[in-house]
Amino acid sequence: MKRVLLVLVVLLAAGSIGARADDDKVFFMELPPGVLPADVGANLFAVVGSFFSGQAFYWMPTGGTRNIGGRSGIAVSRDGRTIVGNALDARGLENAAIWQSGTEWRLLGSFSRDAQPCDQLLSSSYGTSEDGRVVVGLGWDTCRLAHAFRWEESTGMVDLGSTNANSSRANNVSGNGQIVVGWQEAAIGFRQGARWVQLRQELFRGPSGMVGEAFAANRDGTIVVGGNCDPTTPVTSAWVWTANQGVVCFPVRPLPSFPNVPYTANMLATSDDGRVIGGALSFGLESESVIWLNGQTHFLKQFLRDNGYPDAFARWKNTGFVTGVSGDGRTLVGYGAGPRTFQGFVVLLPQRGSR
Amino acid sequence: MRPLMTIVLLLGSAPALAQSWELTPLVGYTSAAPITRTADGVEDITLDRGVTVGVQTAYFFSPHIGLEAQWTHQTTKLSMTTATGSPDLFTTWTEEVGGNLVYQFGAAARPLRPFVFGGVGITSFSAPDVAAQTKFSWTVGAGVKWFPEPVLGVEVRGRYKPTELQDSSSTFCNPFGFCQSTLNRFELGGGVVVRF
Repeated sequence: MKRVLLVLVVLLAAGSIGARADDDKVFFMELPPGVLPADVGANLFAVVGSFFSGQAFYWMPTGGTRNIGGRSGIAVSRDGRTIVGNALDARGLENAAIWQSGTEWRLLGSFSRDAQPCDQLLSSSYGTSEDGRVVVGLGWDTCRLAHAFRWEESTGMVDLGSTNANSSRANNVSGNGQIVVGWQEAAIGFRQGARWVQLRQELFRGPSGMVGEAFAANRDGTIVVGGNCDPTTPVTSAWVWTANQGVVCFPVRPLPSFPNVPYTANMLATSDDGRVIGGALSFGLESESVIWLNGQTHFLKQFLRDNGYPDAFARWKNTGFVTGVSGDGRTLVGYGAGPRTFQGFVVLLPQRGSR
Repeated sequence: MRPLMTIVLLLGSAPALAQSWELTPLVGYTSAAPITRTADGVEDITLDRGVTVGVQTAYFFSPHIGLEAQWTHQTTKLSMTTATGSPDLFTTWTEEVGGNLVYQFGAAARPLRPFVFGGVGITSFSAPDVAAQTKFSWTVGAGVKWFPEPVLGVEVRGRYKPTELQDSSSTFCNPFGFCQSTLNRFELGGGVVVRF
């Protein structure tokens, strides 16, 4: 019996020879030039976006960058299997679309078969639910009607409308597909943050009334993030909305080295628990990536340089935007103005518990 | 330990002819599996090595030939190496279920019995936020059993256990297809064999 136990102990010891673990460190990687990620799924196995030169792509650590046609890649389901973007129909009109295979896209049209485009735009997608079954964005019926839409197979494209005579747009949808977030244009032209719950619109309210557009929601819509929290103050701020606290502003002060332009702070993507939020301090494409970790604001470049990447974004003109954050908050993607052209990047944060 | 000894002694009182079943809790070590296709800038992607646990039961029709059913589980990680670091991408759970034909060498009464085996099964991969996939797998291997007691022994076995991914022509390299044909892995393990 003792001999049997001895052999068993040896076997167990052999089996416990450890695997390596680099998951307590920050990881940063540049993607190829011209590859501009918009979203990430499947734990980095589906980075989706658009080429700077046009058309959609997905990037995987195995297969690399693959051109999947269409006009642009916008969002990806959590498992990476459904890619949403925009593609042209036979008339050359841009449609919200779902990638099928190769370079084929399923076009989603607009609010009705008779809907007319505005210039070359019939609809545009801006987000999808975590299972890829709900697509949201902007639909047109002539240039006089531009409204947020919510699409799913059983309902088709539903006009989410506007509570005034102005335009609205859905920028994203919660992971469960129930809460649509975006904006409605106020009478003064300001894009006012809004959400649609069961097709009913609610406007977000900040410290001085209006807040800027909502860009993303977490899995169940209990956390919504956006930009331009208090347009009346000189320091721009992004915002987080929760049911308990309402809208909370997060001011972002430009560094002295930044160009002197009127920046806007935008939170563009959030993890399910809101502890990791990505976005940017932007004036058009003059933009610097910002991340908020547990409510603390960090410029991404400095954060990487403080966490093992002293040469992060070296020779880049700017760090652009963090455009996608995975549900678990570990994977971030984005793009900026690289040394030669616009260029994407990937950041992996340490596993929870070691962060 | 006392209850275990009681069970062993009870089992030992069974007639020798009835000792044609074996039950083996397994612990092993599965090698890393390199992924051959990688993106530009990615030097290496590997399904990491790790501990495997499981259980198998075998029925021997004769002193030499038997059939065994096996289940094993491995928790590991998919890792990536680039010029800028080597992060783990995600935790992966691998379940293997299979059946093997086993041939044991030597007389039944000998305490030391080498054996070879081969069989087929399925391997299921799953991970958070990634669609699970199940693939065909097969295995061949060899080992040796040592029975210092008639009903209790240990075995050590090594096996080659490729998983047929059949994904080399895929246009969409899903995380568990890896755009390659086969995932090649080896396992070295063993366990306590209870014969009854």
